Amino acid sequence: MTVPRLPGALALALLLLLGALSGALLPRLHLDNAPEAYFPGDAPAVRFESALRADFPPDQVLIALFEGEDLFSDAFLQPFFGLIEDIERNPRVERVLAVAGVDHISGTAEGFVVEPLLDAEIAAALTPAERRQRVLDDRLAASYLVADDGRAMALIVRPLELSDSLQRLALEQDTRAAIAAAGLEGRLTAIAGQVALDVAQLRAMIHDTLIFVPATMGFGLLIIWLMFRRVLAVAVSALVIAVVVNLTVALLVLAGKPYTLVSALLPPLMSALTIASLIHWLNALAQASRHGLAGSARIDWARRRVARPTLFTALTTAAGLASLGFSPIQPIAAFGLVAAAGMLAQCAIVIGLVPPIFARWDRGEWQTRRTLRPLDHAVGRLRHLGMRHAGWVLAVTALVLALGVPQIWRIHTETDMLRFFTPAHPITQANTRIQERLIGTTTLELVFDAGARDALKRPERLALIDTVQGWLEDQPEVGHTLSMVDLIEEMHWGFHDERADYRTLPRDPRLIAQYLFIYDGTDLYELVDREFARTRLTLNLDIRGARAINAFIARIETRLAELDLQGMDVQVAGFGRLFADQERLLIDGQIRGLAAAVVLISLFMLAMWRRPGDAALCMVPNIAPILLIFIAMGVLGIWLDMATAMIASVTAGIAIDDTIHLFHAYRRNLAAHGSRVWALARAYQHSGRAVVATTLILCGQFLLLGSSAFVPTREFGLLTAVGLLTALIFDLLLFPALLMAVGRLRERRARADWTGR
Amino acid sequence: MSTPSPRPQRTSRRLTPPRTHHWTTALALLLACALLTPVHADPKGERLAQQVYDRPDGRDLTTRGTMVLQERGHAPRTREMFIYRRDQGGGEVSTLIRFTAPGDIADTGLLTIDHRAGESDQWVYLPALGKPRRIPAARQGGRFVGSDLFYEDLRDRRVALDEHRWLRQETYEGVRTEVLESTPVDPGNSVYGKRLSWIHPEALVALRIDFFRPGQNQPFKRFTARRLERIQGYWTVTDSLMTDLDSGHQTRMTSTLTRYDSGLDPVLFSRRALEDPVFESRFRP
Repeated sequence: MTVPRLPGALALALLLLLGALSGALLPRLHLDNAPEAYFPGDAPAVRFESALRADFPPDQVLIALFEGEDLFSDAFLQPFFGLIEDIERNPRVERVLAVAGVDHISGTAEGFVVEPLLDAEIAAALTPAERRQRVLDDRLAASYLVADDGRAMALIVRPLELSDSLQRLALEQDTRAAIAAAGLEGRLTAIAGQVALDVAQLRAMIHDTLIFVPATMGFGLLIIWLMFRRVLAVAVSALVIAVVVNLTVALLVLAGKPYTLVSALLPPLMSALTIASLIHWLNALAQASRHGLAGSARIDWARRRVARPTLFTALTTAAGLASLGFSPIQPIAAFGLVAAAGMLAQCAIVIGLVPPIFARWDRGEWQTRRTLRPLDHAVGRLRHLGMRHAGWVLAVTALVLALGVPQIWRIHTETDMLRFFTPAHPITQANTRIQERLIGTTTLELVFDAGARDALKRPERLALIDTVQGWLEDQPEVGHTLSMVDLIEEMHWGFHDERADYRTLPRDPRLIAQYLFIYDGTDLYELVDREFARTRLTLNLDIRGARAINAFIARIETRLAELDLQGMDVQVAGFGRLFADQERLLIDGQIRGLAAAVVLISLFMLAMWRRPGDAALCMVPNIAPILLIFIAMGVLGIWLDMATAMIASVTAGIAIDDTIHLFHAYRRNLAAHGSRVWALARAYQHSGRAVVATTLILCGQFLLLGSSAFVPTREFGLLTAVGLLTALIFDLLLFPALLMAVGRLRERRARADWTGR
Repeated sequence: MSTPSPRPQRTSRRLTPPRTHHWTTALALLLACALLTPVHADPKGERLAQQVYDRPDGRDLTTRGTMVLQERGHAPRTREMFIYRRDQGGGEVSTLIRFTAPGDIADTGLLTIDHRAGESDQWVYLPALGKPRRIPAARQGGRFVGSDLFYEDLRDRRVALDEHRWLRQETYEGVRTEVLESTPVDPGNSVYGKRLSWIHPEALVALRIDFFRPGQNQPFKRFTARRLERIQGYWTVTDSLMTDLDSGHQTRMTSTLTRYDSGLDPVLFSRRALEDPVFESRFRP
């Protein structure tokens, strides 16, 4: 493979320019991990959600929990009321829901009143005990804003539409600052809700990027130093890694895609893959040096040696990664496509820019290191086993896979954002605390569409909503519900001197129309549109995770199917629905991505070997580890989620590289000497060490990710390392056995053909 | 009764004294009156506010009109009503609003009595319930029948309740107006942080009012007079628009008939008249 060589200074200048240009784009990175970012813009759930939010406020909120024995005393309430006003002035805030901000409907001696549940003016006229009683007696606020025992009180901050995670972070910081300024930090026991969860993920993403990019890079550079002991090798590697990582992330910016917890895996992945490519290049240089070559001759020899395998391995890895582009989950698709493009750019840099730099500045002999010698022994033993006992190896492998395959069906497709954090993490504890003291933070909405103006003023339709709400309240998953029926019932009750028998839905359509006509609060129009054609029943659930939410949604839909819906269209929506839909998308994405990876890599194999049989042969040791990863997930109870959904494609894309190196050497030797055994032994002797070394280095880098406290990073790192190690073992053990067995088969067939002829 | 056009651009806008039409909106009148107060620091502003408050508006007023709620993407929602207003003497002003359409809310009524001291009494009558109920006077920020008007907008606001500051002269819709800033003396007695009014210097009527939330510098609501006429010698806004600047929701008020000084009986402004639409209907023009 001939590549024109640039002057060294120009190559270095181009590399630096590439790094500077891509670095300049990084400040424009759009950090957004909101659930909406995970769906295609035209997904029905997203379209419905957008339409819903045109009529109703968002259900993604920030919840602050305050606890204490004296929450109804002046000492707490005065700063608390000030805090609410302070937060309401925040331009990012649409509304604050707290005892001072929600409607309280009640009857009076000759009238009725819709007023704040407990604001400064009302509180001033009441004793702490009366305040407590007033709030706890409020049917709508009870268990939603204040705990049953009156010792916990929520402040719910509902933001305006926030375009990215940084704005959510700013909102959380503003809220914490306001709480501190009000002197209420001591009473604050939890901050949770979807906004806080997103902020926690953002912090974890940033933390992992800051820790693991330098860590994987440092680990790789250390290995390069130990292997080659050349400052230039370490310096150029550091520069190339930085440029490739920057460039890949900059491609995300250029593609207009957000940086999510999925794309946060890009920097360490690209860092690891680049080090693997560089090691091949440096190893070739060292070999050239051992052959007595120096100067341009050494560079040209090394480049001839690695250019083609580097290109093909880049193409196959890129194919594996690009297969993720078929995922309907946007960040996974963006991750795959951008990483694939980054991989090709990395290949261009390693083949096109790195050699001229070494040609210009690399001087002196490369010393032979014995660092990797111990690997030869292990490679030799495995290869020997595979070749000598090919039948047994194949049979045992087949048996293990056959026994393990049923375990794949035990894999849980699940995404639980809180499970991304350890139980000791503040966001997990905050969420648990709020769920224990008040309500679950998972929200769901039932949207009733009556289709015509004022159709929702009809008592029969309201009665249906009431029936559904009653059924929902009986379900163990449901912590709190609210609908327009609640407000009508409260008005009916308030207009009838608070007589308990009037806390029901009136049957007179005129009375309902007149209540709604004179209603002058704000809460009603958060539940029904002004056309009275569409309304929502809001739910707070005590469950989390896509699987549990989906199961509950299925039960709701079954129940709805049993009812006469009075001509209304009823849909389940909200954050919970969006989140739960990810389960289906994950499965779709996994199937599509894997199929695409296998097809694309097979096509590359075919293009490379020009024989379908050889292409199929090379796929076997790479499909088997994917199966083993899924088997391990099934056995160990690891969920298929946002992070683990990418492992199979990534592993397939990387692992095939080793097979290419080994099979390439085997074919070359076979063509040169005709002996299958000799060709195999020679191929493993020459390429085995490099294959093992690069795989171990990659594994080491992925295992580093395994030390993350953020579960998606950890599982991605550990499972990818397991996949690569398994692929390596299969390459060293199963592949020679397979080659021997197939070779014998082909020989037998050839003899039979000869005899028959 | 015909429904007014929901498309503002097709409605003529005439802010100079008209010669023919007899349209009035008492709600708009109330709004125009309701913004003013003496300025402790600005005599010019105080004087202007007092002039607006004191401008002649008759001993009583009867209006037949429509309230049209307009929301983007939806057909307008039209309510028809009668509005009676009477200066009861001694600084007390009473207002009765009776809705006549659509059918499900027909006969719903609202009675407001603004006392001299600044406090108000308010009752609502729901015909399906058959009895009037009192609405607490403290309820200032509630939306009046789902419109963009707050209950506070319906009440007579004394000049002294606000501090007034003359800001500048400004040409608004071709008219050289006086721009007046009114800020509540006691923030607790208004839902607004401040109001900016563009005053027609001859008619002493606000042609535009921007309403601000406390602590905010951008208005969230805007009143605009779309037609100003002199009826029986009194300057009257006969077509106006209140716009929620956040949502774009609008409430348009037009009057199809306006009559001043018809000698309305004080008993019309009683709870009896409120809960007896038949009795009240005798006063309809």
